[in-house]
Amino acid sequence: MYQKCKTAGIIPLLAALSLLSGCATPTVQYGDPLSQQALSTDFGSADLQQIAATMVDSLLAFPPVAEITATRRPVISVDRIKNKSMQHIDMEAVTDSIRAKLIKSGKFTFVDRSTEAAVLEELKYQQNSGMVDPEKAVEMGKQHGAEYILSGNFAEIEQRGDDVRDVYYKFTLNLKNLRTGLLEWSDEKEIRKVWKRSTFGM
Amino acid sequence: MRVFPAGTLRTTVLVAVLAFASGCASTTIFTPYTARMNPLIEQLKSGRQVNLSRCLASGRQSTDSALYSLELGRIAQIQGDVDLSIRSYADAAEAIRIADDKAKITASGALTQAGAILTNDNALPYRVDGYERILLHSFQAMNYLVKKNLEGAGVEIRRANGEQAEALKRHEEELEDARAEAGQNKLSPAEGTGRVYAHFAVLDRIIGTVKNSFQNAYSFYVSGMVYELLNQPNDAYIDYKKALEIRPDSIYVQRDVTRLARQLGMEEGPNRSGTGLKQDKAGGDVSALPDAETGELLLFVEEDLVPQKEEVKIPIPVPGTGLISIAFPVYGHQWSEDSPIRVMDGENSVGPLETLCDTRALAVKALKEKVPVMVTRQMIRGIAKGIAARKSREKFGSLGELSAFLYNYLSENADLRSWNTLPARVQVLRAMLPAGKHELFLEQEGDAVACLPEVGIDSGARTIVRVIRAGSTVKLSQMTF
Repeated sequence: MYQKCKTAGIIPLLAALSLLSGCATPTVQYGDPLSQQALSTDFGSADLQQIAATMVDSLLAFPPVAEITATRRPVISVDRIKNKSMQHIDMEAVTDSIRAKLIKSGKFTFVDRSTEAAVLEELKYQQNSGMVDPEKAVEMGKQHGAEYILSGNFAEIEQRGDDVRDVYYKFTLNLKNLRTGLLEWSDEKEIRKVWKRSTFGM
Repeated sequence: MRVFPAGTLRTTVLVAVLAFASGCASTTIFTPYTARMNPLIEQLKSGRQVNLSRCLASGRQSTDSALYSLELGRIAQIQGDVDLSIRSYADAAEAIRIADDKAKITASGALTQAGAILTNDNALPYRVDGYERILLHSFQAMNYLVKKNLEGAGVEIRRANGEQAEALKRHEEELEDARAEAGQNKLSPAEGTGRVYAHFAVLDRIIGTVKNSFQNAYSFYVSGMVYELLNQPNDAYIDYKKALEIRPDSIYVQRDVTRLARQLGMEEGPNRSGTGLKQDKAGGDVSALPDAETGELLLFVEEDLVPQKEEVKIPIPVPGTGLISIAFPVYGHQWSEDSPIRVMDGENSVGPLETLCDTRALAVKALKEKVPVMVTRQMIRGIAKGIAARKSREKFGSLGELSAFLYNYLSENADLRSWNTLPARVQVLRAMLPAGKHELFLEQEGDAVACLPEVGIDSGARTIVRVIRAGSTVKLSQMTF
């Protein structure tokens, strides 16, 4: 009898332990991409949105840029932002966000170098394949050249203490005038995240 | 009717519960880790294909998932499955981070600690060593280079550099913790530590060849190389200099430091550090850059596999019990002196290979540094097991004593876990070669020891060749930038 009771006591314990070791069903919920709650010190979607918005606002509000874009929409090329951080971040997504925000502002016109190879192939086909009516084919050498190039980089400095991890992200963007070589605008946005170890946990 | 004494049953149930709690899928509490790995290592060395989809699957679900992910990442890398290797290394890095970020006091941690006191160190989740953490990121950087993803390689070398700096800090903290633990339990592990140290005596000369148990010149060198490819010569210069600090005799690193110092207009730099780089011992042109007819070859050769830990039983004085024979992990075998390897291109010598990372020495030093901690823990365990045996004898007489003895015997297993598929050493060669195809081979003491698959050198470009030699397997991957 004594043995039986002992065994019966073990079963709930085992069940509790298996729950503790992570068999519980995880939950996933939709969240607001702009929500400010940081889950880790990693660079997340909210940071990305925040950076893109702040940088574009800063660029458009800069008086000389406002002047350039007041009467016409200059042609701009957005270069891929360089990742100098310690995280594998899809910099193309960051670049896309910035470009999309700039496009929505309606202040610039854009050239997209990333589709160059496909464009060249299409133009060659139109010109050389004999399949396209020469009057309706797009002529080579008529594209717009970019007047400005927007480039930037993303750096990270991490400091680790015993129970603290302090991560500092710095995002820099530059607008360069291709004709004059002058740097028309530059700004940086900083994000600092501090992680503290909790005392109790599973 | 009672078949077993209740004490034995209780102990068995408790051990079973603890094993469950600590993720029983692939525990090494009763089966040594090396026994688990050896069949895979044999397959690797004989050049047979390891079934990667099933390989180490249960281990990767256990509390040692970081270690098993490291092994899988490396096996996949050796076998040329770069995507799987990238994923596994990323899993390992994540598992390491989760373990590092754990709360100070956890329910699962308390359970495994209790389990370890009743069984052995294998019940504790494996703490990935400093040198392993650093090499993880350097090898991952190599994976990204194969994928031609320079930005990804950049991320990994920055992580490796972060680990190199972090390891130093963590190392000091761990030694301090060990001293505190010994003090708290009013134990003096000095005598036991001395007995275990005696087993490392044959390797003391090797341990003396490394500055510390974690930093290695290879990781800094890879970092310098990637920074050069990323067109960040200033960062490259700094890391080549760090590599030179660890391996001041390396001709290749000397040349790179001088070349970059010249490029950056800092020619006084390296001389200030006392390395005297004006003389290039090999007579090579330190400022050579690829031209129209030549290309640069950067050859990394990863030789053999790192030795495994072995178990020895060492009698340790335990308060209240006397001398107890306890199982400890050691590296007991001296390995033969490596004679230099020369890279040959037909009749011509391209240059000697230089060792930038001796993983064996790092592994031995890392283990030796942990001896005081292990001895303290073993003494605590010895006391606990001694008390359990006495209680068992008092309650159930000789049968109880026998069962306690059997249990103690079975549970006394040394912790032999470590990243087993790491190379024993990583060697490098950097040289200019005429553009075109080259059939290179490695020569040791006048004999050709390995013929490499054909290497293509493009004019004006940098060709990185990575060779992995283990047993009869020679794998080569080549990337041109």
